Amino acid sequence: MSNLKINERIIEGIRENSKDNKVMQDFLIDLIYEEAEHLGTWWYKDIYKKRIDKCSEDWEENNEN
Amino acid sequence: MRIEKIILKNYRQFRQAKISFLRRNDSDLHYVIGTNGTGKTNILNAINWCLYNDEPHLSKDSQRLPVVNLQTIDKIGIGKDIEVAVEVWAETDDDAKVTFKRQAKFIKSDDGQIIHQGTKFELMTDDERGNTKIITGEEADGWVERFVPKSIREFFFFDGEQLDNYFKEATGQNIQHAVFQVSQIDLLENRVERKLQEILDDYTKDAGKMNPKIEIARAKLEQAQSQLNEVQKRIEECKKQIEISRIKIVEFADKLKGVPDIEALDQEKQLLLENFKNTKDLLKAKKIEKEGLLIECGSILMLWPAIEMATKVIEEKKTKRELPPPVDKGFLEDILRNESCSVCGRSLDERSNKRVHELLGEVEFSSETSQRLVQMENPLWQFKEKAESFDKQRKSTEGEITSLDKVLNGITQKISQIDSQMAGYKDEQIRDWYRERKKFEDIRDNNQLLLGGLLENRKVAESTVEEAKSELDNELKKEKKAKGLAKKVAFCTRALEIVRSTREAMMAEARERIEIETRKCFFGLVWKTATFKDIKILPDYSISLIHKMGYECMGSLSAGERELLALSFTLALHQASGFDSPILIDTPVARISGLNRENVAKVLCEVSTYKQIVLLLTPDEHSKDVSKIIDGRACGRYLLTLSSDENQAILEVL
Amino acid sequence: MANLPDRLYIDKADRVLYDNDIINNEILYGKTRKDQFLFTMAIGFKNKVKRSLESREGFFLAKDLHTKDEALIDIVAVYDNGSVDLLHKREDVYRIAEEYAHAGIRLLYDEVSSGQPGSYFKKLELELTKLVESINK
Repeated sequence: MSNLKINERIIEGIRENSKDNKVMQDFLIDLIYEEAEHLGTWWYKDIYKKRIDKCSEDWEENNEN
Repeated sequence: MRIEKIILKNYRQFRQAKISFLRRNDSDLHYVIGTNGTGKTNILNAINWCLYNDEPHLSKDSQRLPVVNLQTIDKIGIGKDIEVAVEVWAETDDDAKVTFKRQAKFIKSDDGQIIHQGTKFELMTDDERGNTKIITGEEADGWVERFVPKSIREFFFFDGEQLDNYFKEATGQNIQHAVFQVSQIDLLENRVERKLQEILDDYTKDAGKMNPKIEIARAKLEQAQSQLNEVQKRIEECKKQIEISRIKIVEFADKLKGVPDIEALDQEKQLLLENFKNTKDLLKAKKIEKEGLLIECGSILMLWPAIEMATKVIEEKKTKRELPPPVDKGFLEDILRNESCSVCGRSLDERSNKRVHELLGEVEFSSETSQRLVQMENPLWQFKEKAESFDKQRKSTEGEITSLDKVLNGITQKISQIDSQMAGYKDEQIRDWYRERKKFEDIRDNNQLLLGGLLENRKVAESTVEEAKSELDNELKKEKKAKGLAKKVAFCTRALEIVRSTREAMMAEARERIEIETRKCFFGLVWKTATFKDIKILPDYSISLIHKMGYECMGSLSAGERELLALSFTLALHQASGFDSPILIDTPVARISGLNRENVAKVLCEVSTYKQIVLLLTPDEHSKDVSKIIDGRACGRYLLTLSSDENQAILEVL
Repeated sequence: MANLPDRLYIDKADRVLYDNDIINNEILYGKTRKDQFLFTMAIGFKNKVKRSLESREGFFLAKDLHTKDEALIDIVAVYDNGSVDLLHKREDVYRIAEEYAHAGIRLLYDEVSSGQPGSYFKKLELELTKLVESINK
């Protein structure tokens, strides 16, 4: 994670709305930091899809639905 | 993040200067005092030049000068290089160091001109292992954007005198943008959300390739989404138009304050002129009527002695029976000839015959004269009647004429009043203003109407999208081959929901929080606390200031009050956003007087306990009362003067 | 009975006075020649002045006279003559009227030439008001 500051409220909000689902929380928080690192265009699809591939498997086991 | 120090080399008045901003535990307040022309504002320009490669606060005089220090130009030889550099040393919240550096190379030509050779921008920071990393290009620009985004820098590095103008021009859209940037809501909305949506679309397209039903459902969802986006776009456009119109209406209302509605007055005047013409025509007709009466009755009244005499003569003749009964002579002769009455047919007896003869005798005595007299009787009676009614008729007509005259005078006065009201104003321009204001009022009203419909349409579109999503979801679940994709789609969908909910909650909170903080700060600063009742940040992010009488009064604020509001808003933005960047204000209290300067100084001291504040003050601003408040709190105090040749700024630590 | 005269006359010199701008276009504006004649006759009568015509010129036809108009002319003749005996002599009756009118037009002309524009009707109104007062006494 970069030493870049993300508005704490965003992190709080993600945690609240994920309803304690750690997989989803970590996925989104990581994404947010990733986005904050990169400005302008970058090859986001690969990174997004890789993380989704992994997290969606873990998430299905743990999801609140 | 805060600024640790600024190093300037050959930048305008600054040949070599270093301004450090060391903080204390309880304060991060710093100030530089300098009269106009010493380079105070160029400290602000230096930061802008370093970070954004522009100088938005250059004075007219400075604009004509090169960025290179004049003393250096003077001293350097022909063909020699000159380097201009500004470094902004910053430290992050976790004490990491970042240095932003811009360098520009110039060369002095044969004719003494300074020719720009190129500019370089880079930043230096430590990597994970503690080694210095140099970053250039887009990535360096990205760091600047994270430090203080260019689009909202006016809320961080600003000229106190210009803040009012910016605030005046800042529409709700601008303010919303500022809020979103500062609180990083745009990070969620424009980046994470948008990209997740794109990935989701990719997944559903892939699933669509596996099964036509999925493809149909996906296409349906795509269409529903597209329609929703279209409606949303139109809603934004509507809101923008409403906002723009609102500002324009306030602008024209300001211009037209106290100015009469020329168009309306002119219309009134035209009506009055028409009325005047009609009344004048009526008056003329009445006068002619009266003159006719005078002529007609004049003949009669002037001949009154003759009328009286004739009347008397006729009466006498009638009394004497010299005026015969009105019986025709021929009629009587017929009766005698026929020896029977021409009326009842009865034969004449002796008595009747005698009577007819008597009558005929009387008629035979009647002359043309008598006939004339008989004919005269009726007209004479009419003349008398006319004469009797003359005075009454005359007075009545005269009364009508007087009334009409009064009406004409009244109209003339009103026209004169209107002319006085309109005098001294440039008709055409004022009409234009009224027309423009009406135009924007119509735009606002039409768009508000349209907005209502569009908001309804959006509800429908959102519902359609939900239905389409549900349908796609069902199809995905049904398709065994798409099981893996279905998982990812569900995951992405859920992730999107969470991001959106977070964003929406943050938006509402941000607006509310900013409203609360702005209100708190403004009512703490402003002197007319009894005049203003409330401040609201409306859903479209426009600012509404409510007078104690209940009406909107943004348009009637003084320059100083506007500046206080702008400052309050800016501080609120910082407070509510959680975004931690310094505030640098050039001439913060120039347009604010007396007690309010002290109020501003107190507020800034308070803010400096949790945020870096750098003030660039004129000696006038650093009055006894202000210095009493800030001197004790300031961590860094500098005095800026000019060298004797006025080409170099000298920075002295106080 | 002698032949009835078919028209009434004015002095030739009076034509220009009747055609005067103020008299024709303001004071007696819209009035027929007959009405103009009767008005000037009344002025002459009121001022007790009549003048013989030097050279005559027809002004309007006798057939245009209504009963009321005839009555006005007749009463002037009766008053002037002191008796009704000349009423059957139409020529004499008309002549008296013509002589009063001849004097009257001159008086009217002098009045309007000497006074302020628009003052004639003010004076006339004043005069008539006094006449009404004297009649009512």
